[in-house]
Amino acid sequence: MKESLIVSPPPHIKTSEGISEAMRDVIIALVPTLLVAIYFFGFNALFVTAVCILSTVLTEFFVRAVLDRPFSLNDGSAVVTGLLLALSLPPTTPWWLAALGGIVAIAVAKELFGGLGKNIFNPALFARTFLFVFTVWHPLLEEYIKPLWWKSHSFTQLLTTKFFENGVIVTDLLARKRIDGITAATPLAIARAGSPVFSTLSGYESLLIGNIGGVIGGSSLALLLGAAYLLYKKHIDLYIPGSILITTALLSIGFGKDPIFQILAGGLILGAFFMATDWVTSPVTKRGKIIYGIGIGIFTFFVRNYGTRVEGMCTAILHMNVVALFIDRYTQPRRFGG
Amino acid sequence: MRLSSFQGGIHPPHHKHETENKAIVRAPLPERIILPLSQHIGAPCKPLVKVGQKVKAGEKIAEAEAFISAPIHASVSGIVESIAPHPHFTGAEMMSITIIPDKNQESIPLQEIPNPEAEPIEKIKSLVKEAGIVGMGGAAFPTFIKLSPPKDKRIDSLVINGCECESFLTCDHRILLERTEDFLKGVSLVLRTIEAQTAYIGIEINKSNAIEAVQKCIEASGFQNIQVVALETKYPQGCEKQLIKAVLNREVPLRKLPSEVGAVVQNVGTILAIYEAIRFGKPLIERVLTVTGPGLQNPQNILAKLGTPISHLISFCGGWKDGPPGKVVVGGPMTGFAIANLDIPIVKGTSGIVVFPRHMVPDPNKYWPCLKCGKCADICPMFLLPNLIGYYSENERYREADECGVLDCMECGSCAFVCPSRRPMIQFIRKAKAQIMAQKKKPMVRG
Repeated sequence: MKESLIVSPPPHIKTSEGISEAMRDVIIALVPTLLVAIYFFGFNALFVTAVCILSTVLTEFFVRAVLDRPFSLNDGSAVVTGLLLALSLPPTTPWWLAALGGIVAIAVAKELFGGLGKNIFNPALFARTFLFVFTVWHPLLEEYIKPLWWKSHSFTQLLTTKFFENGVIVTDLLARKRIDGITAATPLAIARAGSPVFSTLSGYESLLIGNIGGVIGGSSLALLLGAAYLLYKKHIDLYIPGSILITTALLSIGFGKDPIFQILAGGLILGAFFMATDWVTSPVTKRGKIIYGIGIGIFTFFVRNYGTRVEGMCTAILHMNVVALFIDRYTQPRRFGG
Repeated sequence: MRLSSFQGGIHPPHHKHETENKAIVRAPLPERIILPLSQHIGAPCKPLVKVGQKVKAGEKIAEAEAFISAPIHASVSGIVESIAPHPHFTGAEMMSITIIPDKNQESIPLQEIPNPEAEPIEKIKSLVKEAGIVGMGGAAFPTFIKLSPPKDKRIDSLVINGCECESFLTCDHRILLERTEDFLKGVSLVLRTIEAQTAYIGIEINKSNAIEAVQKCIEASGFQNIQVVALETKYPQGCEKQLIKAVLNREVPLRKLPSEVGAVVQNVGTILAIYEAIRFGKPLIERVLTVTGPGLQNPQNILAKLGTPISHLISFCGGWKDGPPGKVVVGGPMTGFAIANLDIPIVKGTSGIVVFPRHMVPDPNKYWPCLKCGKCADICPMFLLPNLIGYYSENERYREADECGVLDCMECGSCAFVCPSRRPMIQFIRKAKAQIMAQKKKPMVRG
């Protein structure tokens, strides 16, 4: 009996859950959030998302071709990066800015560090921060549209869309700054300005469903639904998001802020469940995850409430990304029998 | 009922249904029997026979000289054809005695002991040593040594490993069902030999009929001080330290043996071999193993003579299925050895052969960087961080791999099973271990 047999070290059976299956699950988990965003912000939300994904996917293709690295598009990680980037941007982001974000996320934050698995920073948040710094002289990203703005316009008005202005899909009516009442401040900005938040919002429920001026991924409820799916599929656990939420709540109570508002506003849910839990850039050990989450919670709370900027989630995660590996090294668990 | 278990571990598909309801069948004699001179952990044996010599089944043909060793007996009667290197399942070549079986099989006279319970303990230990018995779950550590735990350790518990936590394998399950009474007599005997108080038989709940059968037999035949413990079905439940944790809730200290916490662990097949050796005077010349896998026509539980070539057993199971074979594994799919040559014989520690068709075997060289998903750290039964160990080993940073405890890894393979990047964790771990051990052996150089 002569057969050519494959010899390799054990184990000889492996799980069917590979990288692409995990990325597929993350995409599935984010679909409800995207659908809610399209409902509230109209076609803009879908357009920005499509541009981001197209940009990350094409960038990965070209960068890997130039660097002569094996193609990894089929793992789906570029799609996830594009999707997460889009969800962290305002629905009125100009297309060229969204595309630039995708390029920075993949070319700089991911491939420059060595590709998937080697990056230090969360690529989507790195690119988002880059875009906000890039546009600091011009408030392109500081303006948010009112949810359901399209409801006050007739179908024909919407059809006479003047497609681009500053790279933003606009109807004539949406030509920003020309018509009052189409832009909206984000809840955190309202709170920072000292106005009573719930004078403009109907209540927690509008924060929960995402009926607010804000980024595309603003529906906490849809995000929590997706997070529940990822928890069920065991791609994430509650150590990081749980410690972020608990830290935020405790600090809010301690400093006299509204804990529910602090948790539901400012992309905290998106950050806690989808950005801070990014495998590559977060710690692995249980104790490490808790320390990491507490760090993000503290950082976010003080930056968004007392810092120079209105929101702090994104910066907090990027800062904690840097120390994730060190946290792992110093929080190794007790060995069995040790 | 709350099932006992350990912390960590994985749930690979069981694949037991292919063979769990099939009674043990005896394999026909092959044309050639190949008996490697090392079938155990420890020093190889020295041959006692010459080429051309006629031997009888059960005759001792190789002697153990070192303390940690076990003698080897002819598994058939026949003519010694050669004493030469032959491929071994570990991948190396090993000195082996080849025997051409006779038409009429003859055995040496066997010394029966009708009432082993009356024999002195020291005699039982020496009979076990003479019978060449080793741990039959795979590690193949000489059994008589385990029956003589250090005098300064008080042993109170005998733990029987009836977990069979490896997928596909069902040979221990079948022994528990078909040889229940002999098995329990063996447990009693070993319990007396190690002078412990209680024997615990740990069986995973996916073998509920075995749990029932053993429980019934204990009650019906009035066995004293033997308890059945139902365990969660989880890999690696059958690893010695994890089993002790599950059954006794004791944690064996790092780099220490079970005797440290007053326990001795024996596998189901080993217990049966001990009983047969004492009661019927039968040396270890055959064993039950499961020959199975999706690449095999007719998977079976087989009683085969040691030294039977694997090709013979594959033919006996109807040959390949589902296209050409891709991988033939000696042992279980989680820890077994993939072999390149089907003339390799089964030995004392071979609990199974698993065949995978070509289309089910992925390219082992295709893997991705670590994504630090942490799934390996969540399930490591030794509570290590396999992701860090793999990363350090891959980048030849062995000192750091050592600091992460790579030497405490028992190579159960759970981390490699769950890895979404398909990283060859065991390869990384073995590489780091070899480098660290080589480094530690080097004399200190003053510079």
